[in-house]
Amino acid sequence: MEQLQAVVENRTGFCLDPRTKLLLMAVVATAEFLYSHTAFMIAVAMIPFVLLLTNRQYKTATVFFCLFAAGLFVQAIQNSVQFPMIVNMLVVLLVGLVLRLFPAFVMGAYIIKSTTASECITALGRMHIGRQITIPLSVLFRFIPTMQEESAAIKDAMRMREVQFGTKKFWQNPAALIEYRFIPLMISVVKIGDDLSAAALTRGLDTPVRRTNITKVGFTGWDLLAVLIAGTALLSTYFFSPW
Amino acid sequence: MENTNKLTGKDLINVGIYSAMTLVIFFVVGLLTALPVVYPFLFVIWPIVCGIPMMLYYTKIKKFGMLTITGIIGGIFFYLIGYGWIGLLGWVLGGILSDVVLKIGGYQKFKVTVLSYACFCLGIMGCPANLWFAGEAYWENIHTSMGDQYANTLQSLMPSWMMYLGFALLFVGGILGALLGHKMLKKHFERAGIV
Amino acid sequence: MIELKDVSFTYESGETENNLSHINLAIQDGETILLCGESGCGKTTLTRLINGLIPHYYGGKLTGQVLLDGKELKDYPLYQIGQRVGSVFQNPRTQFYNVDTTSEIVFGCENMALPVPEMRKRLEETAHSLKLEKLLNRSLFALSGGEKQKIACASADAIHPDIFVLDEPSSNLDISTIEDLIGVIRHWRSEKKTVIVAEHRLYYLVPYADRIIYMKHGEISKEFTRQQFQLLSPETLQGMGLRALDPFNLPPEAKPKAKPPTLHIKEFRFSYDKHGPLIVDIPDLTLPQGEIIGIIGNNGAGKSTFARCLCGLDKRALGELELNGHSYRAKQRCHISYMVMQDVNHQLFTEDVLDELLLSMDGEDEKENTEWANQILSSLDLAAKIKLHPMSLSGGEKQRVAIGSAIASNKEILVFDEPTSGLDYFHMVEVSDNLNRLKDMGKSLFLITHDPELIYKCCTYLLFIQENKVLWHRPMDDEAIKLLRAFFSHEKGANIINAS
Repeated sequence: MEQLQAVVENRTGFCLDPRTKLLLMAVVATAEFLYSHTAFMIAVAMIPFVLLLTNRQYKTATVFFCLFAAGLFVQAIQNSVQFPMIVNMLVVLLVGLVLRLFPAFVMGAYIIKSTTASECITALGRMHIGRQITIPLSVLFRFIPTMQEESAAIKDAMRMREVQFGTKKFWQNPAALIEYRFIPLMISVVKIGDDLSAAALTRGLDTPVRRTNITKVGFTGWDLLAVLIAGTALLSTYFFSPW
Repeated sequence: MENTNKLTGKDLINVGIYSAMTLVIFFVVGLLTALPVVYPFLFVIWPIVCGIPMMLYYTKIKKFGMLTITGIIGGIFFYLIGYGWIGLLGWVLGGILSDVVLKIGGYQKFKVTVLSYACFCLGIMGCPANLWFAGEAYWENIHTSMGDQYANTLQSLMPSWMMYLGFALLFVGGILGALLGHKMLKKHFERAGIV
Repeated sequence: MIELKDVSFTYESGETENNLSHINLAIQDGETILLCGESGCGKTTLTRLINGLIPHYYGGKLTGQVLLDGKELKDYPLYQIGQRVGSVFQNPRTQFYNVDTTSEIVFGCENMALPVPEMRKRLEETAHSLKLEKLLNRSLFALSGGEKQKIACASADAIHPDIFVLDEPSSNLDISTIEDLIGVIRHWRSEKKTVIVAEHRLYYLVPYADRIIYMKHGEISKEFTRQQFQLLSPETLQGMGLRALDPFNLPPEAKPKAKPPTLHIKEFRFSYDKHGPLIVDIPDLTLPQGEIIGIIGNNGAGKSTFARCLCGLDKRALGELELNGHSYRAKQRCHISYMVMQDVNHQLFTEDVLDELLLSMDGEDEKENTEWANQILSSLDLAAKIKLHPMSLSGGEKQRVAIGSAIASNKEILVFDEPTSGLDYFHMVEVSDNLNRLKDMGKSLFLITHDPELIYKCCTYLLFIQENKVLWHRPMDDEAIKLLRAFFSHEKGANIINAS
């Protein structure tokens, strides 16, 4: 399950405000729908690619680079090589997927790995998004890892009772497996949630003033630089394509 | 224990908890059935399995807005991991629609709950529809570069009625999911004393 | 000053325990109060009255007055009460709201909308006075239970309340982290704060308590000064359902067998990745069968990982276990061993108690199985509960259902992970009786625990793990007791040195 970080280790000098990341995500997500030249698509793909490098996600960056390059290559030779019909269709679909949608997914991978949960909440607060959204979102960030912990414990317990995929007990009632896995998980999450609500309320969660945040977020020169470079690259390739 | 129509901190935490539960289960189901063969069945499996946490959630919903927020949270989540505008829009619309149904129909009736949940499930379409719309833009590209005939053949493989079928499957799945969730509620949660 | 005037409370859920009747109590500023009593006596409910969770969060019928400096608490919203009264709860895993430590410590301050420089100042002060500079900017999920509990204390502290209310804060802590908790409470006392603690483990708190309040059936049954309380005999305490004041130096009650059959552990090795450090490294170990083997050692020594290896819960675990002439690798050990987890909620799956046991059996002959399941259940005093949902039972009953399901599946090796955390004396004895019952059935039991009373009560063999290796193991004889006591005093002492 994808989740935001609690803390980002070895953060280098370059870091963006979460709002800039959201803006860039918006750009990449919108670009999916635009009819475009190859140069523009490359410019779009460069945004998450460069960002991944700044966050030292070299593995993701490499995989993305290879797939994207392969996609471009296939698209370039598509007209000259005659594939069988079915293969051709599949290729066109896959290429479309890689060239169009992957930049957004990879951008997502960057955002998830480079942003802490509290930065995200703080940034949303700065964007004047109310507690109706920020409270549930904070709880969500906190519960995803909790559910992983609980789920791992339940999985162990199931294994000791020999209730798992492929055993005799499984074949007697396969649907029960889902029941055994999810029901205890949900019961424990509900109980944790009750405790958590009580603890949060005693610490003033319901205070009717706009809360402050200790987490630092704010625009720096890096944000300006990133937006300028990305903007220039996108606009120039969109309107004045060399190809 | 104050009764107001405004959402309290406790309500909002509940929204967070049940949204987390539903999203995690949604995600896990999506992973378990990563095989392309089961992809069409996902449209039914998703709403059915998510019906279990959602029916538990519905027992806590007494005010307007909670489902909308769940929709927004789900939308933000999928937006953040790259499902684009349509992913966001789908979840938000599903949330609003289900909230409205509940508001009009009343918070006590089980039939209304079923309908409301089925409406919520329609929003799931946002995730696959993202691929769809991006695809649409791509067809344009293909039309110009590869010629109409080729593109038309390709499009006939993914006709637009599949979209309506998708909605229908989600809706039916939603009804089944609500029934399953209700059964689990009676079988486990009520007897365990947590409702 | 906190005053409770003729306060009675009944939970709306209709439970019969934990309610309060006619409580009169006055707590002066700067006092440290220890609330004790059996489970269900209402001490937790009393803490909830003081931090305002009753009536603002937990509904029910409340009569009488709860006054803070002469003002009725129920007239103020929770967030205002929260600025005067800081709370720390029982379970460190469930009470945190953020995912990182720094945000968690200043969570209350953020809600109060303190300006950021003030917040930073408070963060520094709190981190300094509670000695947790090292824990700042970490993921809460990567912390141990004790560290999480310290963060919870810090989060309450940063709000700067005058009163601290702690509800069984040591339940999930081991001996060495309890020493940290003592440090926190001493700090609050030195700042003349009022501290109110509801607690089962008394030994660590009594030396700092000004008054000890003993509750029974929802009433204040007796009040003691520290001196009076310290004069109570161990038998009197047991009769009151209270834990020992000096749990570290009790006489052992169980005798090891003369010549028990043995089981062999060979080449047990485990690490998370291939070239990583070994978390378990036990080349050769012979242990008695049919005994209760206490596994002791420092935090992070590898006790739990050893237990997981023993139960075959991790397929990466290397090594074999020889038992009754068979040899079992990790995957096969799953079939002969069973762990009763600290959070027993994770291992109950079905819709009623009887089904829970039947799930553990082969579905061959249903009638015979049901008969046997009934037998097991009545031997565990659960006969009256067979139609109930396991999750609706009390903690002790759930644990017995889990034990029952292990018996039903014919497991030979049973591992218990902290079975007595947060239990009063009577419930601890009950667990100990269950363990002895299993021992009499010939099962081999392993017991990971930080509860000295439980060790003295039922362990017949001790296994000491240090830095992922077995340092010593021997039957519970004079030498073992000497080593055990040395270990306890080391655990207690290590942190006192750190704290000063």
